[in-house]
Amino acid sequence: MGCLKLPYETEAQGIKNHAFLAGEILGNFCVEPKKCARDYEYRIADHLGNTRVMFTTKPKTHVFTVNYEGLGNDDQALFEDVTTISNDIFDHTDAAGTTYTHAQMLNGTEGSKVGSVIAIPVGMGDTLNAKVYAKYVEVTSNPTNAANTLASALIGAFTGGTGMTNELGNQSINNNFGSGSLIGTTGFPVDGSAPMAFLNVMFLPEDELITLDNTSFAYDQISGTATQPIGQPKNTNYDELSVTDFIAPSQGYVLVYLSNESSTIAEVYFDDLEIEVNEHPVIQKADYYAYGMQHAGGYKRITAKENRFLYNGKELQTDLDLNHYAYGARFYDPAISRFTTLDPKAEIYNNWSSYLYAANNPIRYEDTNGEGPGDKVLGFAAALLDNATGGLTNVRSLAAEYVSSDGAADFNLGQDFGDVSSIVVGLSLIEGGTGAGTVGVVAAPETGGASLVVSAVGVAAAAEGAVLVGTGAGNFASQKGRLNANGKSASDKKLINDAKNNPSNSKVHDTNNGPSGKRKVHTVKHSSRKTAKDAARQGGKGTPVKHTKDAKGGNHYHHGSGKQGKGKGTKGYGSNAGKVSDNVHHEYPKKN
Amino acid sequence: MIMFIMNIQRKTRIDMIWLGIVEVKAINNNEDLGGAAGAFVNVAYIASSQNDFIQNVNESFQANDFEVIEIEEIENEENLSIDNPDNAEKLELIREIKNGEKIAWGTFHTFDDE
Repeated sequence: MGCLKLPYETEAQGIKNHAFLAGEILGNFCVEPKKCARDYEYRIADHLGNTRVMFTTKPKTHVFTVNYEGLGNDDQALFEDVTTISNDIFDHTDAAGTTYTHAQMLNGTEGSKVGSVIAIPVGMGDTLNAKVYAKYVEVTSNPTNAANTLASALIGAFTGGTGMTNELGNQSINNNFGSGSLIGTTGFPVDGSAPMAFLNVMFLPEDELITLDNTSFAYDQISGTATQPIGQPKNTNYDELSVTDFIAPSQGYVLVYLSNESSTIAEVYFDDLEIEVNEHPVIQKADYYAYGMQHAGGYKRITAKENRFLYNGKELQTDLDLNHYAYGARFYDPAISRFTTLDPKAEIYNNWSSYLYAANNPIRYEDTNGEGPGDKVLGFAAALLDNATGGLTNVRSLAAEYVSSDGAADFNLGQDFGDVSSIVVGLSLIEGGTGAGTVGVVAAPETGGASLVVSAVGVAAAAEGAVLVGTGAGNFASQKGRLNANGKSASDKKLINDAKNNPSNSKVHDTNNGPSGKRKVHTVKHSSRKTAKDAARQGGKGTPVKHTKDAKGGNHYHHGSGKQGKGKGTKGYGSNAGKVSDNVHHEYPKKN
Repeated sequence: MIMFIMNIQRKTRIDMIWLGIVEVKAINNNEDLGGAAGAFVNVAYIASSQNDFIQNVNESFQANDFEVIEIEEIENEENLSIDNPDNAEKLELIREIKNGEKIAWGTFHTFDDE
């Protein structure tokens, strides 16, 4: 093939920084690089980072062909029960020529009821198209006297299929065909005037028995006009039998086969069978209970590389069937909802068991590294509220006060989720609101005030939607309210952009307040450039005055020259506190 | 709840608060310095890098009718000790930035001689 797939997920490539942690890139290392396009596989995670869906940007298409010529230029080796005859009259590969001569013949007698069988593994949503050309010769009206059932013939072929022995599949076939034929029943009608020869597509789920219906079984019967009269020259009365857009309802196998179920001998010749399977982009999906056990019904495409970064985006370790998640510092067992070892930061959470997960609140928290609960919900709620009010609140900063230095990443991710959720909710409000508004206006003459209310509500919803979309998108792009890696400082690109784009807004001498919010510019005169510079370097000339006890709660300071101050109530307080240059009691900022 | 993918890569650079001592002189008939030849002032600004900080400071002071002569002792908040009393004013500036100010500056220490 020339290409190797190497999944990777690194900080350097920026993949982990995607808002919803797009999963992996299948980087292609190519012998012929220009022929190897990069293939991206993404994972869609929920607000707790749980992987819900994996999908690929390049779903594959598989094509299987058989021309029955035995030249090795097709996929005949993958099919079972291929019996060919060489007679150019029945060959379709070059219908008008004589270079190719082979076709598959089924006459409905024992051993000749089923042919060209292939079982193709499919995933949920895969679409299959199949076609084959056929013509027939009515040899005689003698009964076929077939001893074995169609089910037996199918199972015989299926068991020896492409390396798969599927007992459930065998049972499904027996259950559906029994000793007779499925085709010809009420559910699967047949043209009685034509041979009972079909192109068949049957879906067999992986882990269950089914009763075939129109969604799991499809067929096409040969036309009665596709005849080749005996003793006549080769004609082109081929009938194209086809089954199109057959969608696999779940994971399993699609059995494609040709059949001749005629009760009287009719030689039917099939040629140029072609099957195309278009894979669905979704390659894996999973749902979880609160503590991480997976719901039944999860899915992974048989042919896809499994993504084991599932619950919380952590890797599931299946070694020794332990099924533990690797959280970095510890392993977590979702079956018992506990970590398997002590919390390395147990002393911080001394009110909690050292083994519990996410503070026993997995709906709100997840465990970032096995060292304590991480909170994405706080960032999510703050972002949603901020966006809903059009950015008028300072809720992100307020919420950030409750974020520890270890929780910055979770807080940021929660805000990402909140911003994107705002966009989605806003769009739905716009759509719904606009619709309601329209209905209200149209219906107003007949229904009076009620519809006007509907109209008003609709318009209001649309307006709120517009606010959500606009603010959410802007805040997501600017990464408003995100904390840095240490969770210490608010990084607000919007502030810088405002300052850059509208510097005149902060002109000092046009307003009472300077750009820092102080009243104009406060100056302290110094005798020389050097002393002025020293004063600025020291935060004011001399040692800043530090009070330790006073009505302000202590630990504040002044700018200016003066002696070391003393606490309130002590001798010399005030007059010895320094010549306060700005008359402001500055508090020391709290250390985050 | 499942959300759709937004294939937008999050910004990897991190904005933080940068600080420096700025030497300025008044221009355009600005009388904020009381006719002094110049002044030194501590400044805090959110920036993604040192160069970004310098550019932002220049633009903001220019808009306020100051010419920036020099910016010295540039540092970011990560390197600032909160226990050093010399940094008291800088810590106050940081607090103002965190309260939503675009730029924070401290006392202008003026001088007359060049």
